[in-house]
Amino acid sequence: MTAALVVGFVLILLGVYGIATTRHLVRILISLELATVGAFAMLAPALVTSPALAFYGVLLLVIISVSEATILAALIYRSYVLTKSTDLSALSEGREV
Amino acid sequence: MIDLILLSAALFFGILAVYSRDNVYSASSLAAAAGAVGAYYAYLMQFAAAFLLFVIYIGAVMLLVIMTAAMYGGVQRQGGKYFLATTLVTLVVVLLSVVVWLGPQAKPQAYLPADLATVVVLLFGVVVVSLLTGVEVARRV
Repeated sequence: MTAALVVGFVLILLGVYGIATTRHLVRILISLELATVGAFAMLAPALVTSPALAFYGVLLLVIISVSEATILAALIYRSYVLTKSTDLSALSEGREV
Repeated sequence: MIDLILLSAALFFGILAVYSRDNVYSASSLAAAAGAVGAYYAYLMQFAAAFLLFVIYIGAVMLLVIMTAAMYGGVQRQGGKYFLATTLVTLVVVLLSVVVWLGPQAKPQAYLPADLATVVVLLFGVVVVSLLTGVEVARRV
């Protein structure tokens, strides 16, 4: 059980590291989903202690991940249409200088 | 033992998802990591949650991520090495799991519930790291 917590924590940290070190929107999407997978792993011990409550947690996490993936994918498509790039550096509008 | 094998596989594919240069391989590794976590859920006999993870999360979200990665930035770099590494790890995980499953089963251990304080400390750590990362990224842009 502790192993699941540690692995989940490391996956979340890897996801945060990936988000911090890239400006590519697709890599940000992948890193964000990696952090979600880490959260799934961290929820596993709770599924044994209180299955009903943790199942709702898993359900909520799935819904949140579907929403975030869809929004980020739409942002990637829109960004590519506007700038012909998925690099965050190409998006200059709306930025404080 | 099987739980440790599955979690190690999830960790390996998670690291590969971050450090793989190609977006498609990275997204595929992410799906494999999610699959390992789903298998861990199934190992814990939590079939409803495992079903959610496999069908909704991997079937929908991972498909979206892999397709997006394929459309933007799949350059097929280092394909041979990637396939060799992932195939070897997958085979080793499957073989180890089968050997452990068929071998003499150890007496089930008394379950120790996870310490809530440990979980709270770990989650607090995630919050602090996320906050620091957010501030640093915002300063850089």
